[in-house]
Amino acid sequence: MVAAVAELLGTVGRSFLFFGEVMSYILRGKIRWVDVFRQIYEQGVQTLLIVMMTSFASGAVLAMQSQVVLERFSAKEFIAQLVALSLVRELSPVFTALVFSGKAGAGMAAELGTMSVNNQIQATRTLGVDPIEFLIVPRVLACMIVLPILGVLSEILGIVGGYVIATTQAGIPGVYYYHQTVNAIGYVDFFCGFVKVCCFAVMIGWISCYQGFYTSGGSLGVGRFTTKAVAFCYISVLVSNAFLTRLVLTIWGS
Amino acid sequence: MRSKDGNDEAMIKVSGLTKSFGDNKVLDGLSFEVAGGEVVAVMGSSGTGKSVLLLQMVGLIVPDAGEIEIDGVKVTSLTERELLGFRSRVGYLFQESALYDFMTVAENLAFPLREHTKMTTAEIGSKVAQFLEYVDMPAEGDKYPSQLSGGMRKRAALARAMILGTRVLLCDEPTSGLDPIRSRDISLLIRDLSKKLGCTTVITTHDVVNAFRTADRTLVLDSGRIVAQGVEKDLRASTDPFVKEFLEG
Ligand SMILES: Nc1ncnc2c1ncn2[C@@H]1O[C@H](COP(=O)(O)OP(=O)(O)O)[C@@H](O)[C@H]1O
Ligand SMILES: [Mg+2]
Repeated sequence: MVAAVAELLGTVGRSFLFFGEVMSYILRGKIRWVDVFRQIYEQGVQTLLIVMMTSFASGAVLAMQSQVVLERFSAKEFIAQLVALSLVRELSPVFTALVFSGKAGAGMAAELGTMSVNNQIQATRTLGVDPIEFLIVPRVLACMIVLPILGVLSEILGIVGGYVIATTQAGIPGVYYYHQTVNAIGYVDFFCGFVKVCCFAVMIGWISCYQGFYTSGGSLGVGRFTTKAVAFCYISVLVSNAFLTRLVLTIWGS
Repeated sequence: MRSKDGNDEAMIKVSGLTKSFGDNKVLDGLSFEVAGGEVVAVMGSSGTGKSVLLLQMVGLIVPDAGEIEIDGVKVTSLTERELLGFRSRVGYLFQESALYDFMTVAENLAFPLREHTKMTTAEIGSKVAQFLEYVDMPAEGDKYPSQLSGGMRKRAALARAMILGTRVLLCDEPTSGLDPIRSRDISLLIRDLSKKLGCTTVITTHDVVNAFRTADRTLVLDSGRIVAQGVEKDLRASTDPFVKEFLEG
């Protein structure tokens, strides 16, 4: 029991040191932009389509359910607001982060994990190159760039999904839906979601790279550490979302 | 400048090296020297600490006690930043080859040159071609490591380890996982290239035949110490029970 707690504290401490090291490279501008762009491309390619599909479907479902609920109060014309605000403030940031963890996060952890068990990370050191600077910083940074973009894209696709349902099923005129949406989303709503997705990006990059970088135990280890990375990403996204929501509501009010 | 004592030519000096992991005492006061240009094999059974020894020589594992001096540099007293610079002067061949699998063979070879020299792309290209020629895989540059056989990966990794013109080469079990013919080829290649490029080379192995084939001198490692050393004839004549058993298989 004591040993388990001590080990957990050790892991937490080590992961904060790791994060500090990564951030110090970024802040000092020790950034390999070519590798960053390669990572942006890879993470983008891995996740773009699946984020678009899931967002469109979520927006559509949201509109269907809103229609049912709002019709009970004869307030069908508010579908656009409900869909837009739910997506922008809450659903898109969280959904995108979860999908991204499962795809790009797992990808990074598995890739780095394989490199770790094949000694490619040690080999980087023997070549006189710092593996954090060469392998980790570009991935974390790419994450911090790709995920917010995906988040905004997800909001747009979700709204489009809602639009399709609202205009075809609920009989709401397209132009009206559009104006309702644009008027509904204030700066505060947008930034509330954007701040969240940026925080998730940092966490996912950090957790996935940390787990990958310290993978041991051969190919079994790669599987184990990758699963762990995804699980930790899910937990930290969902738990921190509760705190972030409270924080945002406190700062910007409701 | 260092004083002119008798050991001045030694390129690698290891003295009193001790390392434990928990209760597991791996190295126990290990000492040896390697002269400039010499090729030495450190032979021992699996799990006796051969990898741990080599990793300590480039500062990737910190010893509990003892000193390591390579090419006049006290490895054991370097900071992390100094170590990075030092490591680029030592070639290290990993047991798993450890080529980057997201780069082609040629890109793998070019990587240390791009990191540590101011060579132009054309100069890097011709240097890479030269080293691919050295390891007898001139047409393999555009392939990815996953498309190569184990033997070829080893040779490509050897080229990457030596391409910066390193004066010291460390090879961890270069023949492990290879068939007898590939093992012989890589052993002879390591020897030839070391001699040709003037490298001081240490290989670790449990492969008796190829140790003698590669090395000018063979050290036998057991229980954390060197228990015997010399050329094949000396070791065959050894009365140490471990050496006898090891050589006779
Ligand atoms: N990082 C480490 N942590 C704990 N024990 C280790 C570590 N590295 C190696 N060992 C132990 O040291 C011993 C020697 O390992 P190694 O040098 O890999 O042997 P080999 O001679 O086969 O290369 C083994 O018992 C191994 O379990
Ligand atoms: Mg070993």
